[in-house]
Amino acid sequence: MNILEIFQQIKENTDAVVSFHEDEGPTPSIYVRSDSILKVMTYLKEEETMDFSVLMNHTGFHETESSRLFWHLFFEVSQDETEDHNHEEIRLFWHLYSYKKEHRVTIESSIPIGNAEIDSVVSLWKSANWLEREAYDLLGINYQGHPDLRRIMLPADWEGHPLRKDYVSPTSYHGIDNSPSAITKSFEPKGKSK
Amino acid sequence: MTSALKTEYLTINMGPQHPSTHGVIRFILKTDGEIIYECDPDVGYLHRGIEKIAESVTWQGFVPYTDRVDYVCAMNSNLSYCMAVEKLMGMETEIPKRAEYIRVIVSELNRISSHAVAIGAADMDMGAFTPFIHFLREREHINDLLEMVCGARLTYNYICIGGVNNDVSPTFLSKTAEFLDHFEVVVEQINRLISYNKIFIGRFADVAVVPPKMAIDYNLVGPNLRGSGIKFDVRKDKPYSVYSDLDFDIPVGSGRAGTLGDCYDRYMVRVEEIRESIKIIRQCLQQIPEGETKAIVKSTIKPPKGHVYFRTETPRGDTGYFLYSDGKTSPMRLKIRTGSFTGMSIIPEIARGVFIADLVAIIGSLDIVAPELDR
Repeated sequence: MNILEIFQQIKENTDAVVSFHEDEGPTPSIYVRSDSILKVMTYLKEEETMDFSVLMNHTGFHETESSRLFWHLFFEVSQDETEDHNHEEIRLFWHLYSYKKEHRVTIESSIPIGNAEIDSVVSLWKSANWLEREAYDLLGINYQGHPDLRRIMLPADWEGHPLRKDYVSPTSYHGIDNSPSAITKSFEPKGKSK
Repeated sequence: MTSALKTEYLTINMGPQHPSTHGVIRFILKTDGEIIYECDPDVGYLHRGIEKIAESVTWQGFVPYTDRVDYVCAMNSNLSYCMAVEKLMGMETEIPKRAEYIRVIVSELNRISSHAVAIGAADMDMGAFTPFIHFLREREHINDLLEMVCGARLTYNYICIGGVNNDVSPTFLSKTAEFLDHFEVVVEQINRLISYNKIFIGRFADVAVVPPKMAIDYNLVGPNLRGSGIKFDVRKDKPYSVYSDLDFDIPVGSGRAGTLGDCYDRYMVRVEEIRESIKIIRQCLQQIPEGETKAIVKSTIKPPKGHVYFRTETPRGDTGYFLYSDGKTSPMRLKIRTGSFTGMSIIPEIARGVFIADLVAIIGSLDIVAPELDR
């Protein structure tokens, strides 16, 4: 089954808000509004014709300039009217694969940076456990319903989430000095002053 | 008298500096005598923030960092990343045929050396030190061969976006053929030395059984998945590079010493994969054409806006590179999903109820490499 057929099936059989998205890169993806992610994932896992038995990868990134690609799903306005909104968001990706049907799909969603919350899919795939812990640690996404949401890569008392674009490295950690050396500073880009 | 002796679980610490954890990995074990009741892996000691570094280096500039993601099989890491970028740029058909064959030869050589270390280290953890030394001696030959190709012995930075950095010499090809003839015999010798050893089988058979369903649920990949009897190999099922032109088998576990999916199955899958790699390299040496080794690529590339998730089969399984480009000179986001990461996440489940000494067998059989796990 190709991704377009999967998209049609999701649209027909669930009441989730979805849209097909193929203008970014070689692999098209299915955009799902963040509040119906668990519904769509459950359908993809449980439905016999889909049978997505494995969650290959889950990740996200901090989008500083809102792409406004999917605003028509949220608002009844044209894209021009939302032009002045500076809407930072976290875009999330799930890559699913089926060993039985040998097809794959990319599911995509986005959540606002100020309220980074989304449903956890650990109840469907156990591999999501550590992947979501990593995303929580490095990007600061709160997964609702995750059984064990702790930091995984960084120490428990670390502050901030390094993969966010506005992250500033700490100058010291437990008395260990981390301020940039003179050599590091010499590599910093200089201003355009003449 | 009715006062029973009070028992409680004893929490002990294993690692991070432990000789059998293959790097800096820590386990917090809750034990009942010699039996593990709960095992909590504490990872991240080797977290170097490679994914964060990627956001400030150029696309080509990241290739040396992929060496450090998994230094036991740096060629395969190079290949995964470069192919992902090529896919994102839509230039995967432009790679010269000779470069593709060289890529397969060097990454299969690296697979042999990686499996040799994995098998040798698993033997060493079980108390057999001799096979490890034998395997390291053989690995030296492979290091020498790869040094002939690119001048480095561990972190190669040889495969680049668009092909390979320089052509291989005819001497390298003939020396590789010589090595394969020599090594094929050695595999059987070492098998007789350790793999069929009764004590060794006793330590590995029926330990930490991973049923096929659990393996899929936890997304085990590579030899660990095939050890559970699932015949899936990215090289065969989703072929990339020139693997579709090559003839090789996919060894799977069959419960030959006990239960399907136990430590011994995972171990033997690796041994047999070495033989398959030898087969692949022999075919490549025969088929390799003359010609260019690098497509024309700009010195600073800017892949078009978009995302890709590309999988290749490295020694530790299906490694996926997720790339997101916003059309600039460095990646917006780069995520590496590695085989050790999922291999590690299954340990709390399968380590429940086993002996503490068997945890060492589990780590050895899953072939976990700490830098790849933490990135």
